[in-house]
Amino acid sequence: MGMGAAACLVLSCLCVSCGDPVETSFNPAYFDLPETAFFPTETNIPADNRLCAEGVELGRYLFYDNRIAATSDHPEGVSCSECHRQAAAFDCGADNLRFVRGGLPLPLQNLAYNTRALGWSGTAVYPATTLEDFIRLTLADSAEFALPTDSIIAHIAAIPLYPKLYEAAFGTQDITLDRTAKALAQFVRTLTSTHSKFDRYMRGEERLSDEEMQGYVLFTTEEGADCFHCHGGAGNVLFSTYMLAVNGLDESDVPYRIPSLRNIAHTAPYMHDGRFATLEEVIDRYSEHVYATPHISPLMHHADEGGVQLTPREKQCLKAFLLTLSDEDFITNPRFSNPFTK
Amino acid sequence: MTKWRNIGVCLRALSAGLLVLLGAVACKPDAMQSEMRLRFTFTFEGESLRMGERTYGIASGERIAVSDIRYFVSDVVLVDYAGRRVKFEEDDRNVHYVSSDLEESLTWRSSRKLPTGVYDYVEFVYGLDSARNVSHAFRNPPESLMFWPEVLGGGYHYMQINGYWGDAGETACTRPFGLHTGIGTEQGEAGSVHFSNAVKIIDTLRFFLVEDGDKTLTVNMEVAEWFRNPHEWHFSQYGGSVMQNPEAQRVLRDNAAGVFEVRE
Repeated sequence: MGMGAAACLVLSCLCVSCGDPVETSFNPAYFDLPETAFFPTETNIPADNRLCAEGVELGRYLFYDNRIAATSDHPEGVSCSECHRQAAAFDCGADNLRFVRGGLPLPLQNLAYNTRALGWSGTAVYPATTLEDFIRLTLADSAEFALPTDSIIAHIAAIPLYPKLYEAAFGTQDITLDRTAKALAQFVRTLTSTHSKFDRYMRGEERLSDEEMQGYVLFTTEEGADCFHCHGGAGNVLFSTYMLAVNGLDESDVPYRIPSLRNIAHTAPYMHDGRFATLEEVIDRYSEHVYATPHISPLMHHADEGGVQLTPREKQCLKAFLLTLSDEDFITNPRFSNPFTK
Repeated sequence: MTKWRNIGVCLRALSAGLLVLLGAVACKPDAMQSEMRLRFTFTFEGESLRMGERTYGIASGERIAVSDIRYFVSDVVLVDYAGRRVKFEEDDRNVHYVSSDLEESLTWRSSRKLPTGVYDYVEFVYGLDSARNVSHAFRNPPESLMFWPEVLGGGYHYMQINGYWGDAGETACTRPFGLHTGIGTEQGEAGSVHFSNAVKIIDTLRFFLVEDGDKTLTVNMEVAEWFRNPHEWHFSQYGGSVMQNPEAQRVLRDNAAGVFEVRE
């Protein structure tokens, strides 16, 4: 035994004999989301749940683990990934429709930059002000997970994988709803989509075709398709304001959260209730079939004309532009994929 | 030697005097200063504007219901009786976003203390002047959501008034409108030509900033003025969207001069 080791042993014995707890090392690898050109610099990451590699890894396992909500009636279980599939930009996907109270899930992308509110109806359904709260309420919602939260926590605790992952992320093997929500929130906040063709165009790395550029001009002009006030553009690359708005879909005056148009090619069917199967149907509706309801968003300047009245060529260009918002890297990124199938 | 000794004595005395002077300067209390804030309000014909609640008749006889108002105020300067100009904020912070939907935006407190004194007028820019109106200057919402499309000159909206309008005599306002102002665009022989519509507002108001005070001035937008002075506005002529209408942009620029009032 070397002198150093002997000294450590003596020190260790002294500590134990003094009744001090033996210190375990808890040094999570904290990190910030990388700053991305044209993206917001502010995020909704709370001070008590900074991103760390261990927390994100734990969140990723939890996100994909359907054992956490398996029952004898549903032995296949439920996980977040059942309704939020990577191939569908973490929406449910057209071949996997999942309705909760008549609404489809919203895609989980760039949520770290959403400093406004979450969900189709915002606080009307889930009175959550943070992503952590939103996840807690989702886990507790019997319409989403069939088990009460204490059962979900018990299931997690019974899976041998997790105590060590919680310890690495939070410094303790004690598994709680709060830590579970925090870990899931950390993983979800890393789901950033920043490599679409439009992003590369903005960074000067790629050109848009003439058709795509014409579509972009239509997208960002009031006398064109008039999309940008709600759905962004060069100055708002999240492609949503995340505001609530009445959109003139039908005679209803119920407002819904304005969804991001990022990865819209992967998030069919469209609208909160999935009523449109294709982008063409969505464009046709906003072009010619808008209902000018009493509380329609005043940003829909052409509602009293039935819509923005695009020509077939303009519709084609607008669709071409919308397809530049697809981010193939996002839907295939191994960092976001199911860790149980690696 | 005596001569050099005398010079040395003189230098020592001079040094001591300088030290005393420096000490006196160093010990001099800071110039008297006051805190200050601006509060932003909206009226229609002098009455508090009730957004989303009632309709109003404008000069043309048409009616409007206002849902929300958002605008930028920038380069606020206080000018005292001697013509001395005091910036409300340092240059890089001398811009503020006002939104009727955001309570916290309706008050703008200067981050620094301002010299006490007698002030005669307040200057500010409604919107953003050309040097400040640069695309991507704001990366975060809510300011970033005011971006003005590049094809129309880029930068940011100066203002959005959103609501609904109706013809004279109509009881309900059902047609959406957005009075959105920013850089104007005209088609010239060589292509698009852009022009600034930002307006410098100067409002005479004698007020005092007293030591350790906390002065509040109110910047009020009289909404009715957008529609009547010097140009009468007709929704039936301009419609509900005006970003690409250079004439409408000029009308609103001219009318802006009478819209704002600073008061205690």
